[in-house]
Amino acid sequence: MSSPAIEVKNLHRSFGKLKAVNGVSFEVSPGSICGFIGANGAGKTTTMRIIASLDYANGGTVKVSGHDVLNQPAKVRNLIGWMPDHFGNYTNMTVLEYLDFYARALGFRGKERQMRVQEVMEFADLLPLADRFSNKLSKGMTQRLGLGRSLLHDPEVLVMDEPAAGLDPKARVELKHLIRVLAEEGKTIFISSHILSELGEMCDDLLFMDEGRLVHQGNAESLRGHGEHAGRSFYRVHTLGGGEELANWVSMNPQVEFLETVKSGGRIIIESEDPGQAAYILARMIQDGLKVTEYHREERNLEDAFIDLLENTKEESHRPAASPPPIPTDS
Amino acid sequence: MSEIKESTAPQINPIVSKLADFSDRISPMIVKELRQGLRTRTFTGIFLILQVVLGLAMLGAIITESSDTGRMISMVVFFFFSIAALILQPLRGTSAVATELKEDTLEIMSLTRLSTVRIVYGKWASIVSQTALLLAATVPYLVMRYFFGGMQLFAELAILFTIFFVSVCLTAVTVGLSCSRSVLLRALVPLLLIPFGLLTIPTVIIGREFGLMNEIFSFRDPDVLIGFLVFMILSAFTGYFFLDMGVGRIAALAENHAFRKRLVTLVVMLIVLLVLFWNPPAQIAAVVVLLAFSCVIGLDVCTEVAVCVPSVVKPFVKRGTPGRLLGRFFYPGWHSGLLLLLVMAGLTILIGNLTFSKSSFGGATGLNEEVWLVVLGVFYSILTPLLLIRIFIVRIKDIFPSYLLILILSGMLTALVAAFSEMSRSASEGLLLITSWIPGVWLLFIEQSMEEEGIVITSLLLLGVIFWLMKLATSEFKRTAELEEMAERSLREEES
Repeated sequence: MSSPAIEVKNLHRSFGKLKAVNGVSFEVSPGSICGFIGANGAGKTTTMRIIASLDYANGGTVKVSGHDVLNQPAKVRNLIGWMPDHFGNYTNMTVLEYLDFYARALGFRGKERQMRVQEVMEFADLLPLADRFSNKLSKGMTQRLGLGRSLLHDPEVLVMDEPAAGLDPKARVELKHLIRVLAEEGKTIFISSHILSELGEMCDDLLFMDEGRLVHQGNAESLRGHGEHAGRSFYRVHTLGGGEELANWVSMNPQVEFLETVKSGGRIIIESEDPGQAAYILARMIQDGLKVTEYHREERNLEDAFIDLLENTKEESHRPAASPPPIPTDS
Repeated sequence: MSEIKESTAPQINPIVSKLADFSDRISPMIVKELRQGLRTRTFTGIFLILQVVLGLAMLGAIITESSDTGRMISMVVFFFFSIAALILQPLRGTSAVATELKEDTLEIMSLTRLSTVRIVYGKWASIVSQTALLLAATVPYLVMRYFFGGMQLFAELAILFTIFFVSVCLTAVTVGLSCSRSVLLRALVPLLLIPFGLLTIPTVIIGREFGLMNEIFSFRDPDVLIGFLVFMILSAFTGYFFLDMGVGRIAALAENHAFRKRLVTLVVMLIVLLVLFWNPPAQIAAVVVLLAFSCVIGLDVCTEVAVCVPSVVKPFVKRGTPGRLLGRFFYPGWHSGLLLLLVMAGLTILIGNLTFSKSSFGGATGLNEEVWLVVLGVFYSILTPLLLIRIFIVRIKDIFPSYLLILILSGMLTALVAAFSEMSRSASEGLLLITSWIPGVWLLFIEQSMEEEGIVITSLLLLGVIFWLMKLATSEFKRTAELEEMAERSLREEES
């Protein structure tokens, strides 16, 4: 059986008194796209930096394709392509020279070096930008350049920390496309974001982090079905009277819950997945004088599911984690 | 990426074929820095201005030819080359690594095969290469100057080489300092270098002093040659030391740069001591050299963070007890540095006693009172800022600027005490006793001929500081022992 692409066991990392990562364990299968989700400050970047051998853990182990990050950093670096959320570019250096520098630094020589540069430039559509200074690129172009750089040594695992942050919709679509192509090539993609919808549709697996702890692991479907809203259905209702009228009606009907106001109405939760129950609720609304103009079932929003999950696990998160092994701390 | 490989034609795109401009044998870092550096306005500006000025000077000399023309040309060439090589080029080094730190590009580089050493030394080598280009551009003017007569070829070439060499070392210092995130520290370099350079260069190059320079650089006097050699060794060492200090500051935790740096420092110190013992007036110089090297080691080890990982202690643990013992002096961090400094202090006192003639003080020692006080005072001044940092600012990662700041403040306070003691001579003794805890005030004891009191007070203060530091270092050594155990376990696992 092949070892997991990424294997994290009981990972701990503290900065002074702040526990940035607190007993995190997970595995990422080879060739999968794994999304890493959490609010800003949840500990995603710290975990990813440790995986990429850029930071050290105070406790626990991290392995990439079976190689320990702390004891075999050079091997891990050969296997990993690291793409940070932000990286500065050089002044007075063209896109072509930028990639050439990294190709040289990675040990490519002669024609092989030129071929590698050419391949990634073609893949990330950078050839038209070859003579542009790398610090004069747009955010989208810069991310493509970063992706190209991280692919130069043809890594097995690509670790991408919020690659789509700050991109315009077009650049976002382009980047998603490139990631899908890489996944089809068999690369393992470990990608973080705080925007759930961005990852939900393209990831095989999702990891959710909050306050340094892993709160859920599974795909988008399992998240939707998780928590107290499992077994309930979500409906969008538009009425001529608007959201206030709908909310008033809901307050008098205990089998329905009002979730939020939207334009011309609101979103409600029905305590059943049975379409017959939904039809009955609609009939009651009309009977009670609501002028319903739209009524349709919606999939449970991933963001709602995530917030629900966080609330559910809040109490659990205060349980003490397993104590880490000896800690080399900053002093 | 296999699909990508298949889809690309085997032909290299003409755009990409441009990348054959630098050989693969040249370090990637030098290629990068040269590509960037040769495009900067600073370099092109310096290069063009130097050419214009030297061209005009040559033209002027040809038009108004006199008996002194050759000498004048030499002075113009040396003056402008000195400004470029000793001020402007080293100043470019102050931003070398700092820019990478600011832009977060260093981390990405660390994921490649480029080691921190290659990154920092590559930065330095690139600026040095550019200075060499400037040097090459001045040579034609010196060749033309030869035809005006009166040229001391060897001496003038030696001067030119020395300027270049000093520039190389100064650039190493500034590149090393650029590894610090402290803007204050980097701002200190131009503040010191520009006024010092602008005052010194004209004084040395222009006027009668130039004749003296020619005399010195003809090396007719063997003492001058020895002095020159020691100067070269020390300059090269200073450059190396700052570069390596910079490397240590930005290196990954898994790298131990302290071992090589401390070892090289001790070896260079030994060479200098041998050169001086070979040359007769070495007795006082031996103590001076030991103290100077202690200061250098102190500046480095006192500003090192004591973060260590098992992979660093592994090579020492492999060698059993002797390795572990050696590690106590060579692991990265201030705690092992403290032990090394204590050894240096012992060595200074021992060699001082062996080389100095017997004095009346104490009857049993070879060191006289003044030298005793200097030795104690220097070690007290090195260790006190470390203690203050360990007590008050434990969590700062870049300790170097804080350490320097404490030293500068100590100097200022000492100057203040000196001024007060000068104003009221009657109260000066009491003032010195009260302020004796300030590192630097021990110097005033010598000035006031209070060496005996100075020795007693400084000894007590130094012992107190060492005791406190050792207490603080104990916890670090406990952690080191834990790491050694972890490393040993990992070695056993590897063996099994």
